Amino acid sequence: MLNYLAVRIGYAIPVAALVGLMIFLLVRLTPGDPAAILVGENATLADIEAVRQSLGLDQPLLTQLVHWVGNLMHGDIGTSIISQIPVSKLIAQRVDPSLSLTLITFVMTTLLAIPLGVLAAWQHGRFADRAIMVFSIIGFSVPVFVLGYVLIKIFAIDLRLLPVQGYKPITDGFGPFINRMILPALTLTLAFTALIARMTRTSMLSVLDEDYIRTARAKGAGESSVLFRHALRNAFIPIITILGNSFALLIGGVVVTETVFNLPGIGRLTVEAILARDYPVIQGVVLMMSFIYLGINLLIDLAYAFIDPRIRY
Amino acid sequence: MSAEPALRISHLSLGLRGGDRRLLMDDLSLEVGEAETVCLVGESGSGKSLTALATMGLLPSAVDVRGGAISVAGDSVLDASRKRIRDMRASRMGMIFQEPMTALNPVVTIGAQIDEVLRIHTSKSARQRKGDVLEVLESVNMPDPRGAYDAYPHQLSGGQRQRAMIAMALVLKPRLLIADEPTTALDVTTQRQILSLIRDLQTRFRMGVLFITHDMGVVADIADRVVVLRHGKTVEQGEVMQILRTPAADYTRELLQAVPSLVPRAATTEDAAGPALKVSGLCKTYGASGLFSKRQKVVAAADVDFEVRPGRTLGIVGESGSGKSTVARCVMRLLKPDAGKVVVGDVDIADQPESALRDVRRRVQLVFQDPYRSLNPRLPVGESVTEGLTNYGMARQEALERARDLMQRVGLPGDSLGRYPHEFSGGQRQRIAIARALSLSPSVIVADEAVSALDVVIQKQVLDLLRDLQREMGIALLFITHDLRVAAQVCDDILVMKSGRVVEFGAPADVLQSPAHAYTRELIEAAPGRNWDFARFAPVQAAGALSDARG
Repeated sequence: MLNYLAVRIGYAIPVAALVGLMIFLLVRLTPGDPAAILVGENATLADIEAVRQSLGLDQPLLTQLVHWVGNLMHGDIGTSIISQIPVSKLIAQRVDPSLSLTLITFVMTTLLAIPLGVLAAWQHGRFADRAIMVFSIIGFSVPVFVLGYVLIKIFAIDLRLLPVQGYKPITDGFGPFINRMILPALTLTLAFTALIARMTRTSMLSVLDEDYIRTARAKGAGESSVLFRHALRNAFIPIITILGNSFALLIGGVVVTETVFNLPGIGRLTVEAILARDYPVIQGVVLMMSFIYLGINLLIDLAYAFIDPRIRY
Repeated sequence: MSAEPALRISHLSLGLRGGDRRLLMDDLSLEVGEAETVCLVGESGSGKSLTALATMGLLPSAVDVRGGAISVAGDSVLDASRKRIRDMRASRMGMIFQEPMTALNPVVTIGAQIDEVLRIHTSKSARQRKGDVLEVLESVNMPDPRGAYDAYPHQLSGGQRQRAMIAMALVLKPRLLIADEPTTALDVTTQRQILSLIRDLQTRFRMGVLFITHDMGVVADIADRVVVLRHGKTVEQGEVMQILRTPAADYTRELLQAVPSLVPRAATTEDAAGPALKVSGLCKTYGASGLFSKRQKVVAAADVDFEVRPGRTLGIVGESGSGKSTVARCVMRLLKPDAGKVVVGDVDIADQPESALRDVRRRVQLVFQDPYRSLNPRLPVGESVTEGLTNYGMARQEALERARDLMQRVGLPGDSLGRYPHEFSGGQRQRIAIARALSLSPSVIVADEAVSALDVVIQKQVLDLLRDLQREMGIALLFITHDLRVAAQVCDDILVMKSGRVVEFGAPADVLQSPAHAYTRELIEAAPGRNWDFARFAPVQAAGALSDARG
């Protein structure tokens, strides 16, 4: 087991290094000049050049890379060119809403999608299955901003049950926090449930055809035991893969939802940084995201080994 | 014990729901008495497995009961409530299946899987249950029951898995055991152990056994009575000796005569031509140590030598893990041998780089074991048959012409080319696979367990076809099999492998009548029905030779 873990971590290191290098190059290959944006419309070329020098952007790429990596080794992700705030601090300010939204959505999705998928597989071809699949297609094809605005219209504007948008940290009290979280979390939950319920159904359907399911029935096991004890655990590997990836996607990639509900999260930080060509911030955020992806994939791999003894090396 | 038989099926009819409402089982009646073994025999599609599933109340939803009754130890199955039938499963009637690897849940330990039966059906404490599980594992002769308790299915051998399945079916000592081809997926020596175990437990627990098989050899070894089924109809039933000696129905005769016997076929004259395939000093070892882990080394082939001349057949016989498939793969150069020579015609392919192999590949063709998986289900069979030809530059029209020819040669209508694999039966698919192998006019064909997935009657037809084509076209055939009986019928020479080594080589008559190696003797001993000459409806040697197999 320790070996398995060591191998997985061993694979993660070169991947992380490669990702870092690619971000660094990608940011610099993007058209646009942060110095020009920083000095504003009326600056002369000399002004821009001066700013560029002060930011170190006039150095050769290799020198900039060495400098960046050197700082990273000391735990310094960099400082925003635009706001002069350290990137780590910027991320810390923005991570709360994103993480809260992610966790709530993740839990709701898991609790909703897996039972729905199991139910659909069990009732294969019958009414419940069809209904769940129709819901799944709708949930997946309606864009989140449409769904978000529809929910706002119904629950915030017409019924006046919830605030329209905004974010309050949990330290301001659970009520205000959760009131502002329900709608964005629900929006995302519907979209992700559609995906994961479908995945669960497919995976369960193939497992329910297996011989050991017949064996379980031949033992006299009841349906719930057949479904959850025998089938679901065997069906779990693809489900857990997509659950993990959804988690990572939620933390960094829900720009649209954050915009619709005016949540100051990581997604919006990234978009703002890209628009301003704020190299250190882009690099910092993307690097953090790639580490989250690696960490989650590591967890997924460990979960595989936990679920399926054949994977334990 | 009650006077009721372990199983009574009367006038059972099963049919397909909806659509054509085809009848799948027509008016079946049979009884399995206490401590009696009744064999249900028939080819695939005869309805034998459906009978078993109906008895367990496990019929697929597409099948419905049209009439009749089933009772297990006096209790009716067909009109029992869902709850009642769940209670009866495992406690009244246990079932074991063909493939113990897939029939056990791969992510749950053996102990927990057997324990589950006790948890469902009894109110015993965890400690009592564990005691019961260990006891039943002991009674099925599981080596190291405690180790097996905590093991996962993949950590056990095929035979041990089947023992675990039997333990699970018998932990509550049911009155009836249904065994659906329980030894078909096992090696012959393991098969023999499992058969005698079932026989032994049956006597001890005095349970009835409904044993489903397509192998008359197995029937001769274990049955008290036999029911022969075909297309859902009962062809005949009776005492085993009556069926074997004086079968009344033509179909039963056909079944019996198709059983390959251990009596080797007449030797053929040696051809003067040089060998089409010559293998010498072939070595292959698996499992070099990796970066992070040290794996055990497995010798799959050690210093293997043989040659096959045009028009002749060499059988490589061995059990799983003997290295026979490794040798086949090296001959195909799907694997690169560690050492040795593989000479096809006059080219040694053992050491050639991949790029140089293209021209040789067409001369060595393969027929796989499972015709259900070896043909691409999304391609019309014509595409599969012509693919090799067009790969080697033949014009499409010409290739189709040749494919049509080949289809007729393997006994299929020439217009089959546009149809898809699922429209053909297993035997027909194997004929298509043979046509595909022949399309490139190879000098060597490797048949890897090419008939083991087929019913005996079909098996015999495919073997006959293969032999005719081989003669006609002067092909050297390398025939890989675990079944000594089949090898005895088709091979000019037999090579027996064990743990990567050749332990015996010779003409079938010599190998079978005076085996030099203990392992060969063991294989011969284990061959089911070895004492019965099915084609002549009489024992092979003196009467009474069966008794030792039936212990």
